[in-house]
Amino acid sequence: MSFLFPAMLAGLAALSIPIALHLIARHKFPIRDFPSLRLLARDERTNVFAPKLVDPWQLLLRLLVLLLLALAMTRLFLPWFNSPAPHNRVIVIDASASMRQIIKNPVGGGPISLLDLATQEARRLLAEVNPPSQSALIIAGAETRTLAGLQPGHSAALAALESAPLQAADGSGEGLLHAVSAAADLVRGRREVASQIVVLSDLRAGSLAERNQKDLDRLTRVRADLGNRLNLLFVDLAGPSTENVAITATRVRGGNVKVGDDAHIETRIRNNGPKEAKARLQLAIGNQADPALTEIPLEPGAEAVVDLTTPINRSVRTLAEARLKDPDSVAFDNTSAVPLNVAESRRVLILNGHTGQPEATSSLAGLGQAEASPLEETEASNAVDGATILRYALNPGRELGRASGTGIEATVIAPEAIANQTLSKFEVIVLSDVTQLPAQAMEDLETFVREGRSLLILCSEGLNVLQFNRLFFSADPQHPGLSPAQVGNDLDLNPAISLDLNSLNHPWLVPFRDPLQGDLSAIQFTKIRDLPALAPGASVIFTSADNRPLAIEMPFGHGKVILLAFGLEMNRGNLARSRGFPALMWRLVDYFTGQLRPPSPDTLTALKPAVLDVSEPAFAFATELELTPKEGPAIRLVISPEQTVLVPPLAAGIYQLHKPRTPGTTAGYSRNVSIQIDPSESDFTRFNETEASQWLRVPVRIIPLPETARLVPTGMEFWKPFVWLLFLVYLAEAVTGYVLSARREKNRLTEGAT
Amino acid sequence: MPSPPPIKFLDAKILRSIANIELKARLLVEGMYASRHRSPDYGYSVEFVDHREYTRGDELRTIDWKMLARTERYYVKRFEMESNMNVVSLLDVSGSMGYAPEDKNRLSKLEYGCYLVAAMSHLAAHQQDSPGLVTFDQEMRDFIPPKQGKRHLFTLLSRLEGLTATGASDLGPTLKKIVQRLTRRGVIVLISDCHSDHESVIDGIRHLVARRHEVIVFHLLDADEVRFPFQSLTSFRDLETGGQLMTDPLRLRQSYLERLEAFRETVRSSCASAGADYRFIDTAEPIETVLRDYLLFRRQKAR
Repeated sequence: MSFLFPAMLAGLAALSIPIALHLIARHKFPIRDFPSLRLLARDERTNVFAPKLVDPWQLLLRLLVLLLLALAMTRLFLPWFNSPAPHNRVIVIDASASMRQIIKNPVGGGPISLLDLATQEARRLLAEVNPPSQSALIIAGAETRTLAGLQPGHSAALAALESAPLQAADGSGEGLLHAVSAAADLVRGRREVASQIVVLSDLRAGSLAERNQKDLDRLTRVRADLGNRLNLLFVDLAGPSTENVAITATRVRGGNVKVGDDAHIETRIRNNGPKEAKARLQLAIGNQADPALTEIPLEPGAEAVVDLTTPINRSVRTLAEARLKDPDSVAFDNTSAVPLNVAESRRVLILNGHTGQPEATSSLAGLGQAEASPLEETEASNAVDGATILRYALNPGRELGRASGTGIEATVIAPEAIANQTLSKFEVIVLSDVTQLPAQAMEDLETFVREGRSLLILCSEGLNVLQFNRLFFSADPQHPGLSPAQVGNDLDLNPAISLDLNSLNHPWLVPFRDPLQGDLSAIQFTKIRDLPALAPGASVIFTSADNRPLAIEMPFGHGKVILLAFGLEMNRGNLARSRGFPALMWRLVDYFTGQLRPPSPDTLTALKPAVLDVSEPAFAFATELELTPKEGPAIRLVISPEQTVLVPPLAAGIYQLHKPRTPGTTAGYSRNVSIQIDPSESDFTRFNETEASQWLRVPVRIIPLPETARLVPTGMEFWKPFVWLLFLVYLAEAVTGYVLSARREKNRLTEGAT
Repeated sequence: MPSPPPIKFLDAKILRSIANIELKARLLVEGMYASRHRSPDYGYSVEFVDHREYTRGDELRTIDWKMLARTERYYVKRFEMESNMNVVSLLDVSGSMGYAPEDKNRLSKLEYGCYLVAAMSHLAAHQQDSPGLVTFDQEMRDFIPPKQGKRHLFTLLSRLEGLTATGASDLGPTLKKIVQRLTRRGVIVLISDCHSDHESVIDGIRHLVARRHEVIVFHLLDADEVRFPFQSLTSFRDLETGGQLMTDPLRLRQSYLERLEAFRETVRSSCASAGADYRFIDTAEPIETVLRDYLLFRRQKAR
């Protein structure tokens, strides 16, 4: 026996009211003037609150009226009656991606997806609902959709279910909790009968991972309102064991891949099943699958990151797809594609001034000053020149015959050979101790820089200062030279000088303020070139600890020129031997070629909003972009002032990001964007009743599928007899009241007469 | 000459009932006018008292010549002198006297008292006595000195019409103050519900008697006070103090009646011991009956 509205039992407190009235205010306490009051009040004051009940029968009837009224309002429910009790049933179907899991049909038959099983079960559960019971249907997919509101019987909900075949979403959408709270809203305030929210789900913990506070509040409010009349049931469709090895993440290591380099596709796989599994991974670039498979044994719950490597020989914008070759119950997480953008190699032309000048010439000697000692000359001639060191530093893998590369292709030539080169093939030209160039070459070099390319000047031991300054330096702003500074004598430094780490504010050097990125504090120079004057517009990039300029930058036309006052040779300091040196040079080339910013990941999660970086030059003048799926209309995205676009929640797939296209125009630059199914959908860690109750803050019951056959509540509401009895007692009270009133009036008249 | 306005409290019915009954002072009263009452002085009337020997200064006309003839001694005859009488009504006009019963056919105690005063005054005036009126609560409010004449009677009756019952009462001190104004002995009719402290009531009455007034106490109570017929839960409000007492009258009735009886007995016995007439009046009784019975009682007593 229970009450639909137990709170109404508080109404029994009202029973005290007639008692109090009968004890205290039976006749509204008439005030009567009386002259002999002192005879009444002399020594005996009768307490009017003395428990003397008047008209006890009338009081009894009044109490009975109130009692019956309170009991009728509490709506006594007798559960031991076996007849089906009216109830509200809201079916919530979990249509998240994990419901694509294929299982053996527990009802019989072949394999079936969880979503189909849920649909089948929903159909059966809805068919049980007959008027006056009511039913509703909610789908928790990409978004929460109420297919049918609460209506008597099952016809509306069933019709809605049949008319819209369900499809599993690519993620959890707004989450299962949102759907449950929407279901609770449907039964809010309906205390008259029991309400069931039946969630057909695979009990995946991830489906309840995102819990919106508003949804929690809504659910707890309804629960507080309905109390035990609200039953939240999760039907376990999947069962405890699910064999699944999933690719949970894929990325291209290092961002963009350069032609000639190896592409490293880092693939994270996880065994979500209860047994050990052997994952066989295959990599496909574009449509070309690598026949070689990588086999990884995985313990239950174990995770592994596999580096799928393949050489890249041409520039291409395509997709790298990691595939698990062995099918399991969940298919959607067996492949994962990431955009693979293979950029052209950056080419660097190094003009080595030492070529053809085996004897290093001191600038001092060139200036007619004291010559270097024979010992120093011997050391210098035996040393590896700066150009060679730079070539090695720019692409050590390539130089060492290893697979990995930096995408920088360095060519070393003698200055005289520049005439044979097509300068436009290069992004950067390095002048290493170059003091002589043909006039035509000089013009080509200026044009090269002016058009937006970059020039790096290294000043080492073999530099002829006079010739250099005459050729490259000009203090006249109307006719600027290529050198940002006038180069002076070679300075022997004893003690050696180090870098002023506080001066590393240039974009090229900013990361090196963090020692983990490359420790520059150990670098010391024993010889540097004096820089007596800077060219107009030149600026110091960084200095030594004793404030000597070490690197000077100067814009030249659309390009830029950087002069380093130190050489790279071993006898000029330990720069070339330092760990940070290669990274310093790579980053300098990145700076010259405008690639300092890390590439956008371009791999998003389905049904989750995301922000994409669109700062590449190709989108520089666009205000809007389009994201076009393989099929279907393009989604228009507005570019923010920060050169980003907000991508709304989208289904999984490969999309093309490009400028809006008008019919008839040729396709321009575009970028692949891969939207992948939420990897958490592959994690079949299940929640139990305790966890779900804690997470949702309401009692949750989890039942296996067979138990759904016994969900119809039984019992009878016992309110009609109360109402009839109430009517009769109220009638009796009215008659008694009339009789007593008449008698009282008679008494009053009698009193007056006497 | 215009006829005087009708007097409210001079009820013809009452007057008729007491028409043949004269108020006679049981004790000797001092009067300025010869009336029907024996005076402590010897005077000129038809009622022979005794003889005494002639002394110098006696009027010669008082000598009983027949006694002289028989005894050869001079005796003078003494006659009882009839004098007029002051009949002063002391009417309690405290708040308790204003109790208005629910039954509109009944008079309030004040109205009842006014009728009594009017009747007594009229009777006194009719027999050439001097009616007076004093109203009081805890202080003396009106003082109409006793006088003869119809005009005076009308003045007195007119005053009765304007009376209202207010204030508290304290009989003892008030009566002491009043009696100081009544220099001439006479009949004092005290009409009050005596709702004061018992000792105070008794003290006041004794004080009146001690001044050699003939005191008649009409102890006036309403029928509701006498019977206490209330049944329903009631908040009783004191007419003098305003204090309230919410109570169930059914529970208190018996003890109340016992206390009332004891109170009446106290007043009655105190009056008896002091030599004052005591007459308890229930306002439910017709005034004429009460008045006639009392006057008859006095007449019998006088005999």
